[in-house]
Amino acid sequence: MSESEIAPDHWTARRTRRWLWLGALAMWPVPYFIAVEGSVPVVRMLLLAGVSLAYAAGVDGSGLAWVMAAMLFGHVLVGALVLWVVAAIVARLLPPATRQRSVAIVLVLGFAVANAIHVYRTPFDDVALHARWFELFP
Amino acid sequence: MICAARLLAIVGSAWLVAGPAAPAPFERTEERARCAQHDPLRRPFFGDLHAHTAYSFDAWAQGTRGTPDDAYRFAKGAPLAIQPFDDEDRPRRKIQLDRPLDFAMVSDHAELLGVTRVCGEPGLEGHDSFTCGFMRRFPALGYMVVNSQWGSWTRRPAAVCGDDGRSCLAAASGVWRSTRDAAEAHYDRSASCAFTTFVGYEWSGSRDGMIHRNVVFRNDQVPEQPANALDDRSDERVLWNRLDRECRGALPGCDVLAIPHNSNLSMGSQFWTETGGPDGVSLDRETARQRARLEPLVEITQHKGDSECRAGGEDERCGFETLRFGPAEGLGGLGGPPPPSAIYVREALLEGLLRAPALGTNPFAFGLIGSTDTHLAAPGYVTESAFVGHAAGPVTARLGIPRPSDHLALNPGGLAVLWAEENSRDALFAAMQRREAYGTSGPRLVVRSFGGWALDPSMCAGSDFAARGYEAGVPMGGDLRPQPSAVEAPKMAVWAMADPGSERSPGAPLERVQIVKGWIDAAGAPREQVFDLVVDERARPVNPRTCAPPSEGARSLCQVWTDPDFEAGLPAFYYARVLEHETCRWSQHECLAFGAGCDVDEPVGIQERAWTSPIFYMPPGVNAPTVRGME
Repeated sequence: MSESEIAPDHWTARRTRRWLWLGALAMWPVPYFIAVEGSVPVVRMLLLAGVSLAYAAGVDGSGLAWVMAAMLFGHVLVGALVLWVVAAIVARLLPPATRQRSVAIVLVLGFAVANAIHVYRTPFDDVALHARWFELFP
Repeated sequence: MICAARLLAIVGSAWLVAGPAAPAPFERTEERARCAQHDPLRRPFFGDLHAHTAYSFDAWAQGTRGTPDDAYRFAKGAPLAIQPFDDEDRPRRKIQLDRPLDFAMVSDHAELLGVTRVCGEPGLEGHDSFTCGFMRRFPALGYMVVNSQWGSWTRRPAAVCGDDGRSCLAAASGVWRSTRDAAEAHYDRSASCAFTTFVGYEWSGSRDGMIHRNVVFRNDQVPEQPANALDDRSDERVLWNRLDRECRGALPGCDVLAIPHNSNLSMGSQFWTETGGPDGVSLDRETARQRARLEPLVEITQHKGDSECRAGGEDERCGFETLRFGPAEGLGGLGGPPPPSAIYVREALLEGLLRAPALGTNPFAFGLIGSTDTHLAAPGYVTESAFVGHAAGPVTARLGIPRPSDHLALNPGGLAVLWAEENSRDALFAAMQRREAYGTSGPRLVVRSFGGWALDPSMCAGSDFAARGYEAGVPMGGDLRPQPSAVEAPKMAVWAMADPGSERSPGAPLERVQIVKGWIDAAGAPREQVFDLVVDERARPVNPRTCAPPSEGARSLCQVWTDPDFEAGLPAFYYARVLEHETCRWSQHECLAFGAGCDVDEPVGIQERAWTSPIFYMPPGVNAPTVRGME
């Protein structure tokens, strides 16, 4: 069944993929290793990369400033790409009739779990070694 | 007249052979109660001259909260709270010395004293700068970035300190004042002389590699601001000139010395003569003399590795806690093999002998000490089984207790030991100046050595080892007196006593006493040889599955040794190295306790040790005594 044949009240695979991907970018703990190990959402890494970039460009680019910014952006890119692939696969595997509901359940459940349990390991932060989602963005 | 001349010659010869009856007393420069315990033949005092607190930028950035006040309390035996702290600011770790130290010095990095204060204290100008916010909000990331930069900075960061650096300079004055106040508050000026502090700081210059040194003031007469490598353009000649000008030349009673450290990470720029110096200059006679006068000691061991000698040579005991050079080590960006230039103390001692005739002074006639370089405000915390890391350990340590406690190549550091009449600043400082000092890799070994032409071979048997040593020779750090014509070779007497240890950490027996001799041969080539003076054959490898301390072994060793290959025309030095039986390294303790640190590249066992300051010999006709000899 092609995309055009999907009933209008059903989500397309593309739309499903996009929502899954955005949700994963915001919540899925992606492992990283830059001198220290951790696992945080891509958006969190994007924040760190942005801060590093701002420091390197606006204050002092010597030492490891640019290197850290580049490594963090690299993690962001790789993490985003991997999550996109995973989201695309999952979106295609979901039956069209269940996509919208599945995405909604995944996002709501994911958000609930991420805020209820310390699923993130945040050595680059100062809040706690293990953090919940809302603690990542105080 | 002839009779008088002959009498003088006889008396002179007798003095040359026998020496003065007792060591000369030290000069008193401060007002204080006389110590109730005063021994003209001197006692060993154990301390740490290299301790960082939250006033050091890198320590603060890793979550260290201990101040100089806390550091001195800790050195005196009080518990210390260290990171990580929980959500309610309660420390998750507390540490405490089994045995208090006799002396200590807080040596915070002078370069960023002001920046650290500005970033940490709300309301100060610059506190709300992006850099400070970066450090506070993202401390681990900020530490990694900013700590990688400041070694190469040539001025204070304008974003924090303003274009003229004024706000940070003002803040630094307050920090320096606090450092001095803490040293004064904890210095025991009563007759009990229980604890001595020194006012000091670390000058942390970089030129290709580390050229760091700790500056130690004799008393409370100190300059209004510490010198620092930013203002001094990482040129140690500027530091030396400032110490002479701002202390010795400006303040009555002020005296100072500097102690280089981490030559192992200097990439050849710590012990420069022809190359590796500031602005590409060669060492000249005046600078050599100034250096020798201001820098009588070198720190041979600390957290960031041992600096005695290069691993892989004939001396198989040179691999002790030696940092491996390689891209995987991740310490200071080390990569590739160690440079061929002098980066180890033994190499510098040889270089000093080699250069001395041309320079008129031996610029590297160093005495030896150890210290920790703690960045946790924990001076003297050297127990292998209790190591908690150089600072916070891996970057995560500000949030959780790391296992292993730190990079496996690091170690718990060592201690400085000074032979002095009493535990006062003047007495200890004089010991540093005359190099009657030694370093240990942590244990409190007691080691005494003398060198002389007429030392009694049976002096180990008596109870007056020290008296006979002073009478017939010179102590560690000394210059051998001129060779009497009737004596063929010098003798070295070494007496060592094992560390009794504590209940938590029993001391290990002694395994051997060695003499390390370095000399310049007739062809002008540096040579070295290690002699075993006495060996305890009962020594066995440690059991890595239990780490149980050795149950039997020598508690003391003593030997008088005569140099079998002495040649009067060749300059030489002799230092003693005393080794304990093998015990478990800190990483093996953690491997057993936590299953972490079990790295096959690190040894499971180590032989803790002590290194005495060398005794120097210069042949007749070479007008290049060490500074102590000149004075």
